[in-house]
Amino acid sequence: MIALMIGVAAMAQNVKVTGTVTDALGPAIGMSVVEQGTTNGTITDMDGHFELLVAPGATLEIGGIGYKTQLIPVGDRTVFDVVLEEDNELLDEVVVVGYGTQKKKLVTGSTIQVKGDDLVKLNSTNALGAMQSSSPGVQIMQTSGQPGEGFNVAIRGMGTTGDFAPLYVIDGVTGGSISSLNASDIESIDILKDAASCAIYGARGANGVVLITTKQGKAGKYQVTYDGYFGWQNSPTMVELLDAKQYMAVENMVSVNNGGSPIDWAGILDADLYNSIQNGSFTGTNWLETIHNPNAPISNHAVNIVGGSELSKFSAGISYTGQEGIFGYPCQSDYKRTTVRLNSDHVLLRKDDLDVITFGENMTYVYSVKQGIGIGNQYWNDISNALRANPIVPLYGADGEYSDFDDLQKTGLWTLNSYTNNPVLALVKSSRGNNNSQSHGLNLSAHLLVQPVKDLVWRSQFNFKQSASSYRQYGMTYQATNYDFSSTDAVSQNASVGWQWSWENTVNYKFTLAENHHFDALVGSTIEKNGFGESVGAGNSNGAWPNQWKYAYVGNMTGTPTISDISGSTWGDWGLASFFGRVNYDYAEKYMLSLILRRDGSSNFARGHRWGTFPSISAGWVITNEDWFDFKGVDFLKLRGSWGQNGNCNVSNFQYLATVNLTADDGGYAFGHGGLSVYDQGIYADTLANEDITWETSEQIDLGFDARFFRSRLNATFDWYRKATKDWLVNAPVMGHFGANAPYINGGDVVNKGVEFALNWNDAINPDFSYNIGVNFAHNTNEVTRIANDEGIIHGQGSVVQGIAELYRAQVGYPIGYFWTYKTDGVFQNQAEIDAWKASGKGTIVDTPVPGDLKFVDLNGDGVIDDNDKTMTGDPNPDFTAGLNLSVYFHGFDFAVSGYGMFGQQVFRALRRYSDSQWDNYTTEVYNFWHGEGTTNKYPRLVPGTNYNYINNSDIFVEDADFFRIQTITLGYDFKRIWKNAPFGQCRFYVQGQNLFCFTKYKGMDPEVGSSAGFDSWAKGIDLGFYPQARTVLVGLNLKF
Amino acid sequence: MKKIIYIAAAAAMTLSLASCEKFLDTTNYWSKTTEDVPATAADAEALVTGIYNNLNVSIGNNVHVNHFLWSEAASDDCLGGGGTNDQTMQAEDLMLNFGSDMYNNFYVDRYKGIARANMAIATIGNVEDLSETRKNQLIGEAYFLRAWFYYELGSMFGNIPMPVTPAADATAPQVSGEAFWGQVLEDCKNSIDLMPSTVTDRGNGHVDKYCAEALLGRVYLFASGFLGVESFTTPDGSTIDKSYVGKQISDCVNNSGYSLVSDYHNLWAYTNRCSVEDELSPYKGRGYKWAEDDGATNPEAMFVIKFNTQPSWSTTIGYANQTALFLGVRGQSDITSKGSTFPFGTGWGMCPVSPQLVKDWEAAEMMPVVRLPSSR
Repeated sequence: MIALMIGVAAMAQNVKVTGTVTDALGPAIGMSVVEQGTTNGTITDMDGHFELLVAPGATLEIGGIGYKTQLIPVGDRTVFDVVLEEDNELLDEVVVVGYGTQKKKLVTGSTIQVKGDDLVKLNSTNALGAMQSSSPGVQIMQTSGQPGEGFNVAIRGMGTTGDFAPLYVIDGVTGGSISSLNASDIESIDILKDAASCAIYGARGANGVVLITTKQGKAGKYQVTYDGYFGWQNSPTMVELLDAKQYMAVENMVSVNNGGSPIDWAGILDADLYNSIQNGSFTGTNWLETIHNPNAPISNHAVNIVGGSELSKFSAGISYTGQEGIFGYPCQSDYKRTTVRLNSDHVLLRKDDLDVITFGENMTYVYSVKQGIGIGNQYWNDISNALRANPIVPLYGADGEYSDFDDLQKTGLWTLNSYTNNPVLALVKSSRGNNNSQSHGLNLSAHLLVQPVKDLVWRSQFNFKQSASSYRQYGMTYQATNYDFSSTDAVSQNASVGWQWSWENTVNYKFTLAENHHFDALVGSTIEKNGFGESVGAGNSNGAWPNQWKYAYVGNMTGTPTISDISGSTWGDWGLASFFGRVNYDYAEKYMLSLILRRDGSSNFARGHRWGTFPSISAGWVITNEDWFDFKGVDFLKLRGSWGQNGNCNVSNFQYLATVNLTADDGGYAFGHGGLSVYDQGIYADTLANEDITWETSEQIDLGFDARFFRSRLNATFDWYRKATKDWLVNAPVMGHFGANAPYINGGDVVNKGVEFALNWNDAINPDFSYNIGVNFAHNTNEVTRIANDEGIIHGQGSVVQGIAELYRAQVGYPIGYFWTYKTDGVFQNQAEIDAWKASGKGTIVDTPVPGDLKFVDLNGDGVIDDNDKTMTGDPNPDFTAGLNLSVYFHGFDFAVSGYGMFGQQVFRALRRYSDSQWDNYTTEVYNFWHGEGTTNKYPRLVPGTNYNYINNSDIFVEDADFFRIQTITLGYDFKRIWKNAPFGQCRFYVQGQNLFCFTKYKGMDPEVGSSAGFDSWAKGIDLGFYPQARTVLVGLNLKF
Repeated sequence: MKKIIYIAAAAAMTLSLASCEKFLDTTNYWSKTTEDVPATAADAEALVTGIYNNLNVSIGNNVHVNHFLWSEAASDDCLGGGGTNDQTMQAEDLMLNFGSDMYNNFYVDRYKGIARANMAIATIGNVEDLSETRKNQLIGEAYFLRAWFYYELGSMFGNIPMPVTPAADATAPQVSGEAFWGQVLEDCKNSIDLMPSTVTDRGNGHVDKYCAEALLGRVYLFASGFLGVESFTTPDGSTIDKSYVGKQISDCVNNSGYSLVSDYHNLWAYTNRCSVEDELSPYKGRGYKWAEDDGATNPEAMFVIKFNTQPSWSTTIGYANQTALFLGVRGQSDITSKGSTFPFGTGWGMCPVSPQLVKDWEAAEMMPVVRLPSSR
């Protein structure tokens, strides 16, 4: 019997097994199916089928690159249908660091990585907007909600009053603009926050570095994807303005409070107009609603192709984004951007598994067109105009056109205020409603890698960037009031074209000594020359086709241009030369050390002051790799610390020269010969020289840890940092009698300190149900520690609202851009309170205050209210930022929420030009002003804004602007799950709401005010009519072929 | 193989280092420096034009607080005026302070003019292709303007730093009293001595010898009256006393070629030929004729600050006559509305005449006062 069995067994060799291997997208071609422990194997064919003869009792090893290998014992079966899973852990996650990549677990600096796919899910036109919820320590604030406008980015707080923007590096090319990329072009964004990571960027790393890698080619099956969405935007909230009747009543109240009598509206207004208001047939014009562009469309389409073989891979894509603005109707803002990308990598010479020579290129081209309304100060801001315009003025006049001179005169309002205007007419006829800006950008780079022996790589990359832009604006003829009119139409055009190049060479050698000592050494140099370009501009008036935007070009004008209409200059080239080296060392991936040294020379400084040396050192310890470490649940724990110095050379060139101003119209004088339109050229020495001007240096210490718990489902990252920027470039304070403008000197220091924390939980209950929750927060304090002048103050500008004193400043001991105003302690409710106040020796702002006046606090108790009583009443820099990301995947449905918040900042809000005009419209907040004892203890009695209660800057205008914004809520479904025969690998349809909820107490339209309304760039948080971020609902489709 | 790579890399970097400094040198394509200006005759003319530029730009940027408007508001003839929020104007009238550093901007701007004059005086002499007479004329004009600027600042602030060379000296001490006015008088004297007696191209906006003589008179009257001193010694050792000043003024009166208009009304623009005989003008029928009708030159105008039609809201705002705007009558510019300011231009109404002045005027039986219809 046994013999028979043996005989049978001996005869039953080589079982034939067949089967199909698939992955998430369909048949898996080219997967290897091997009999474990032998070389007997095959690969799957075009349909994923395989056939193999194996010994009985064998185990099949099925897998491929990027997939988790599966081991399946043959057993009794002969047919196997296997589904392979993508394996990300196997390819150690890698992050991009300067001039290379590094395994994430070995990184000793502080960096954040955001994947392009995650950015795409948030559907933001500018990738920076998508990063707001996932980048602790990076303060990203919109400068305006107008389409095409940018963001104010400060990594770990503002480091200077000069240029505090981080350095953007796109595919190794420095100085690009992230807004030129569509999120679907981006593979990943790595933000380098601490000195050690940025040190390798030396001269320009003081403000942090943002590295953007566009999608590169991948070996494997070709993948074509389409991502598109279409949406409708509206204003998230509208400030409540007064209507005609309310306006009349409030103006009466103001007049009476000011000692006058109620206004005789019946006598002043045109009879028909007055009657229509009284009988309710005309309630007034809500100008904000009038310029609101409801359901403004937004759309995006992107097609991407990725694929290639082991030797040659490429990635190509084309995308289009179009976004209309929610305000500015009928000349609403508009932004359109088209991006084209082609990246490829080719192995030119391969020898025994070694890629000896590789060549690659990256090319991106972007074309964008933008038009926008005024978003500056109260003289150039259409939302401000709409908020302040008189609601009694009808939008259309008797002839059906926009109310203009005759209609406005007929209303009778000019006897009260000869500036009463129609803001829509002003918008439609001026250059704020007729402008167009186009820009082209081309980024080309080519790189060559030579790897003569394994892990010794010489990389040379040459980058070329070209940019061209043109702008046209046109002001039509119109007559609105006696002061606001244009009797000639005028056009102005300008164009600018230029290019830059850079060349980077690095030699990188990775080697191991004594088995566990791993070294990764890099030496390199770059040279860069920028600014080869020219700009030209011209303007003229009197169009041959008057008042038609379509024909408004300088060549079609019949007027005579004056000298100030013509401009032309060169961009001015400048250069940067650098040498750097880095050594990364780790012992058994347990102890890590990294040393970086960089030497940079910039042409912005005189010879002898050009060069700076920037060192850094960082170390890490992976505690979990220690033998003695044994805590259940802690899978990975790395402690790290770093110290380094970076520089900032971003100041205008030639500060070391005493320049003489040659600007055509700047120094001229009209002696009178030749008539009134002629003047002689004048020149004068305009700026004093500072030969010693040199770099700003930023020195930073960072301590932190990275950890993973519970089977790597919980990820935690923590950082504490202290960043001190020294020798910050400030305008020197010069004595009044020097007679020329101040040069820049190295004369300021600021310290930013803070912590960052990110927590992320990622779990899968089963392959059909997984979820992810991420939260992050960061805290930052910003304090100026030195300003090299007697006062220790850099003054901000006054007249943020016409006629008011200096509102914001930078001062030793305070954060940059803080609000400097009087402090108030409520309102005097009655005479007794006033008497008590004065009896206690406290000063008042006028000798005889009356009930309803603000109690200005006499801070120094000297009995007088003056500048010495002004103090910090607000800070536009957030103390605390937070982000939230939540996503759930359930049987083909995906649901995600993302949000971010900023806390601890204040905003100065002035929606009226209160000091200048008592006739500006009010919001319904006006009913909260004091109108009798006990009515309010915050706002004073209602009188014209020139009254001491208003014109003296006080904290009644400074508001808390803490907010938490639910940035996106998305619900999607992958129709592939029910439509199994679809030609797509994925067919996801989704609905998303953006900015649906913003939790805030702020009473303006948007609490995220990242701009200073046209005043100093180091100030922010000034809301004079801020263009809010839209609330959008969109539907979209992701297709993968 | 490794060695070759290392050597090549080292060589490449050494080469780069050597040519690095040259690589980083840049050229300034937009401005000259004080080293190379003035080099030509055109540079010298433009340098002096730049000093004149300070005259109207410092008004354009400092409308309320420039010397002329300040002195008008502070004087007894005028009130502050303006609108309810024009606190600076009212502060000046009452000699009070408003805001922080009310006059700082004008102070800084005037010193820019002084610095430009200092540079012209120091460097124009070196320009080769300029004739001796032209050099003297230009330097003479620079001396005049510097004297004018210091006269304004000195009478406003009293004791101020007084740089007379282009160097920016943070340790420059304040100068006041006789030492200060002695320097101003010396500048007037130098201006008189340098500029020629025959004036070509009258009314072209440039100052001449006779303007300097007149300025000498004005400065002397102020300084001697304010300080109670009859004779000043200038830093270069000459003496400026009553007889010297008297001689210069006689020379100006007798030989300058300037003369007075027949009727004071003809000095003001409201007598221009388009408005003076209009139905609505209260001045019609009196035979007034504006001295500058059709671009004619006013015979009284010696030192005149000129404006033109090229201003914009940018750097060229100084080209607009902001003084006329700020002194303009506050009312409706629409000629048909109640309270129209015709025939005067509408403006912000700074420095309205004080009621006391009207009373005194009428009591002294000077020309009859014309009252415009009120706006309400």
